[in-house]
Amino acid sequence: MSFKIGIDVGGTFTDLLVFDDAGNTSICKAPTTPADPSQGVFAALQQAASERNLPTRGFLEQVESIVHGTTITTNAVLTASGARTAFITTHGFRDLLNLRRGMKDGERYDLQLAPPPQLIERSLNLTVRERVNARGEQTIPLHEEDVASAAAVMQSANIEAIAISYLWSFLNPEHELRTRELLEKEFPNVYISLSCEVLPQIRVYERHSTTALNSYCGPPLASYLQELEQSLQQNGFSGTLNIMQSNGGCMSPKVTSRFSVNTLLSGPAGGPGAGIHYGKTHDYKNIITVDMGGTSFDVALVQNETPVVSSENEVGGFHVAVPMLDIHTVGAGGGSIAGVDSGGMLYVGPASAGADPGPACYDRGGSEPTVTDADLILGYLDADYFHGGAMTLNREAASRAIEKKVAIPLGLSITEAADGIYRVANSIMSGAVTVVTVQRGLDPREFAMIVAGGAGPIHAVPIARELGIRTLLVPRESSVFCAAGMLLSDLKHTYVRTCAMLGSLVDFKLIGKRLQEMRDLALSTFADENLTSEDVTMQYSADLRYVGQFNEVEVTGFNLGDSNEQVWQQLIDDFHGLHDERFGYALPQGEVELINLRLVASGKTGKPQASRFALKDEDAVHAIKGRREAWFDNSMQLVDVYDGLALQSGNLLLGPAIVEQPTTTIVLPTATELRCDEWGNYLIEILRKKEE
Amino acid sequence: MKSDIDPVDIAVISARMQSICKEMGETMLRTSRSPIFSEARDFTTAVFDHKPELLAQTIYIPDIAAATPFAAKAVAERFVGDVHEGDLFILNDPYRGNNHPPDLNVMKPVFWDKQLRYWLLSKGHHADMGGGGVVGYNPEAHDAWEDALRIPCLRLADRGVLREDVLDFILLNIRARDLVEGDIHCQIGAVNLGERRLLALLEHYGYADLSAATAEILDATERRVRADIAKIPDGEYSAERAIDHDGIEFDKSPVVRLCLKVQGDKVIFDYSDSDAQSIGYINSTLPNTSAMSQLALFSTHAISNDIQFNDGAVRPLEIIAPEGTIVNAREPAPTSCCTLCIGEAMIEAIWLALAQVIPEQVSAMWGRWCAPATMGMNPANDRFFADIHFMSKGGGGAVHGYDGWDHVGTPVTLGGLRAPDPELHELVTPYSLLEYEIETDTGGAGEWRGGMGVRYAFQVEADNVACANFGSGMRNFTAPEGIAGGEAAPAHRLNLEHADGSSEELDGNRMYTFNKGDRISIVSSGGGGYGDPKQRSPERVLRDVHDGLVSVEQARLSYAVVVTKDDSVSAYTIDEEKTRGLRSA
Repeated sequence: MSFKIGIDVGGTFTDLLVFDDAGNTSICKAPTTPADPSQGVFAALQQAASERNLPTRGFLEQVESIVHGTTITTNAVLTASGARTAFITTHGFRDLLNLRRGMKDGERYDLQLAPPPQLIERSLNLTVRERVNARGEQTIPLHEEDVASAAAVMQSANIEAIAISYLWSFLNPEHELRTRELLEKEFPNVYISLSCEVLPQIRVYERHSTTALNSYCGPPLASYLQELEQSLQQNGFSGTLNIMQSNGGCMSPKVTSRFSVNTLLSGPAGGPGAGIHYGKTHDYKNIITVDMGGTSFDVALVQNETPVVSSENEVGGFHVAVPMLDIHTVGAGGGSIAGVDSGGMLYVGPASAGADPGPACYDRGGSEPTVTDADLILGYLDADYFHGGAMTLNREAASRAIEKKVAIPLGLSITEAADGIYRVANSIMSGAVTVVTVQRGLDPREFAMIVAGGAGPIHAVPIARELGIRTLLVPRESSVFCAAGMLLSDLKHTYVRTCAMLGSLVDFKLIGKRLQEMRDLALSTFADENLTSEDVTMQYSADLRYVGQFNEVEVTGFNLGDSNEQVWQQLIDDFHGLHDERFGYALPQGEVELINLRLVASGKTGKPQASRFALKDEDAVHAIKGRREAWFDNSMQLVDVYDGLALQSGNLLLGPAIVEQPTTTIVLPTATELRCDEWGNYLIEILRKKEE
Repeated sequence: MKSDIDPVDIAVISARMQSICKEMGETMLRTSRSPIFSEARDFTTAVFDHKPELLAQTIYIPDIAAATPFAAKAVAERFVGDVHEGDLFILNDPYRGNNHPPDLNVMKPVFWDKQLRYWLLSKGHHADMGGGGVVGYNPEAHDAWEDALRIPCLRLADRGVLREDVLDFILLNIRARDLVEGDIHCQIGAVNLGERRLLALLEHYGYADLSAATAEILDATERRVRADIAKIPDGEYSAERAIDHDGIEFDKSPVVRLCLKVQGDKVIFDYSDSDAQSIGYINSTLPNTSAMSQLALFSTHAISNDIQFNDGAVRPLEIIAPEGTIVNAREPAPTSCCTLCIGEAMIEAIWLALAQVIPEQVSAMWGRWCAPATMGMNPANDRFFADIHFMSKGGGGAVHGYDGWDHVGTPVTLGGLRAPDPELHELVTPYSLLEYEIETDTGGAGEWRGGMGVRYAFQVEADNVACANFGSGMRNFTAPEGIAGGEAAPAHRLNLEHADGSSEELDGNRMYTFNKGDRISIVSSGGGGYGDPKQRSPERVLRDVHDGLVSVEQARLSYAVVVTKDDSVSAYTIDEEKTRGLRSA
């Protein structure tokens, strides 16, 4: 037997999805261990091994590949706990990183807005005399004595990482390369990144910011990956380990360690891919994926089977210009703490009880009421069947916390208070869906919702109902959704080369050379990742614009060796068409210029195959495992509880009801129906209520 | 009448109107050839109904956005009964609905069921607008004709056919022909795109539901603004602010005088006592005066910051600005600098007036605008260039609770003006940047410190570059004031050093010619401080000294904190004893 594993380290749980070569899947969850996340990873691996009656070593020896999503870098940025980093730039231009182009982001009409935090304080923004001009020519040589002075400051500040980003370095990287050479000797164990390697592209602030983040996140990520790889190997693993990237692809730990900035969305990045995979089974082309974890709620949009990718991103308020999936996150999850504010308003989150101490009902010392506590009081969760019974929840503790912090202050019964928490949490989450749909002018009713996260299906139907969405799909592996997406991802590397030239003076030779350069880089990276060229696909694109414009349109559809006039003409024609489509006009007589060449190189990975089942009849009574009281239509009602694992393809059931699996609970309100589809996933339809 | 339309539909329509404006804005941002649009985002896009009432708009740069309803009304009135599907209209004249001449409005009517139902508008600051100005600014103008080419409400396309003759006439009068031609097409693209999206929305909801929803959205916005205003204590609050001079009469400093009256859920901005109109180009128009009044009020914490900018939001406001004054000049006074000089003075007067009653909800003054607009031929690529040196932006004012934001000025843009990318700037213009970083001691001292200004310097690599150095804030009495006991920030300093070593100070509102080898350096004001500087903790002052934001001298003089440098460990420390002595004095 051989196994493929997806591992997603979330804020509260470490999710693990195992596929065997017969197409069977199984799920393990272990509490995330923030201090050293690899402990949680190994705890989950041990569970997977013991379920198969294997020692961890015996199991790991049979594991062919692992794809791993990590929140190391995201947490480093969000909690300001990255490496102590120094930033080195051109003399006279000390503050471009922290000035942020003088933009007041956020609510422009709020004078009372706090200035943004700084990744690197001014005293560690250091400058070196050097200069390259707009033609890539050196106009001031690198003053090596300035590098030495910077080194002295960095020594006394005990820095752990260095980012180097000079003006125009993407045209002439000599000074950055030499600076690294000089510093490497003095700082052998310090993480150094260069803008000419991280993002060799025009626009200095965006390049600075991306490079600075790369260094800030690099050391914690590199040491984590190194330890994880070592421990896996010591425990018998000899397969391939890949790390999930923010662009929806994955990379080897070695490449990932150098380009940590590409993992800022590593955790949730599996979502859209999983969404597309599950959506295909019902021919859904437009999908909203929602993933409710312990601390956060992630929403991503897939339009026409394509996830939305952006190069203008922000993480924790810092700009990142590498391509990332567009995923919107709010602080609402099972662990989100509820309370009543000074104005007497009930609130939920964004503070979270996390994994430790966790919700009050975990009985680990948490005294604040959380969304999970409310779910328990409302009867949606079974105290004795949490994680399949692996953990017993303390109803009494949940009750006490809600009573003290919410029910008494608001003068409500405990159940009513729990319902209030449930509804406020739902409205926060539907607000997050609104941000990516309605606020962008998209009607959520034209999308299917794919629901992920252990707690997601408890809350999904009211969220969907609020937005007018009528179709939901809950994958059987819902609770480890991103881990599934990770297993389905390809190796992916993106490259860019600025190659500015007028359309009338195209130098096909130079274009060919630049494309070849990127291709060679991609192939050598893939070689490092033990991938052969037949598994590789290359997608080239060109950024074109009308002469004098400041922004480009990306045009695809050519290959290496195609640099002839016919292909060029085709690109120009496509450009005019795209320009009209996106911007409402084209200038067919206008001259076009080329700015950047890009390459997205994908390497196929061995993917698990899901099993498909024959449809049985609709009757689902056989799967009823009991009845319990739960909150529906403003009262506690006795409803059927179904065993999800016993439901068979084709079975149909009507709300109000509850469907339970070990790590997932689905709450099915009145006027909804759930059908188990031929892939074993759950399709929920919200029926029109009578008054509608 | 209460509409039957579902609240979810209203929310979707409201957001869809916003997103249509945003998409139109993206066209302006992504396809423009002038860095003033594409880098600095000095433009706006809007949707109006047929009346025309403003339904939604983008607010990249608040001052130009708030003036659009005047232009829409002017075009709709001028062509009433003579508007057809596929028409386009264009307008820049400040006495016919515009705020100042460099901002060109392009409008398109949207028809549904053969009825004129909506108007779309795109507006932006062009690289050149003819007349005697540089990038639209003419400090030497004595009248509207010297100021810029005057375009009344004109039909630019007739039933889908672009009127090339009209466009030719406009472009013939413009030096930066290529840039302006490209950007007029970009504005047309924006309204075309908006029309496609609006028609799709009409297709989905039908006109009846759509108009019911937008009426409800406007009313809801009005209710929110009134509720917020009602919380400001009633009363009359007066303040006045001056500018350096108007570019013609150098020894005279025009003054804006405001009496701000809060009456229940209504605010009256009474500018009656302001100076008579000037000879030079700093005169304001009514659209500009309204825009400044709105943005100064809406930016305060007193008004919810997530309200939408539609006609409902401004219903509770009244502007009193007698004709013939500096806030409402009589034709044909020149006006091209009204969005900056007089605009800043108006905003400051409003904030200072409100600071008398709700200081914790307003800001200390921000760094004003004073920097060169330049244009000429770039020998590196043989192309005409036109640009404004936005990299010299000053700092934001401090507020209760926070230091000011660095480099976000001028207040007329509220931090929405994006400094151009230095690399793209060097690629397009004949300038080499020499310096561009924070300058020590530019932030006004206070318990909360003003945001920092910058030192920006460049060398000219071409001859005969025309420069209009425009703006104000170079005198002590026009520097950014502090509030609630905070100190003012220092005034701007601008210097021109020629290749032969001679040098001169640059004044605002004057024309210059730059030649190869000239070096221009600008130190911009930071923002004013908030609260008594002696209330700032010595540790924060020490940190500012360590970061090079505050000098050892300013720490002692303004903050009464004695900082010494310990050379043995090359670090700063607080002399506790001396600091105690100074602070208790």
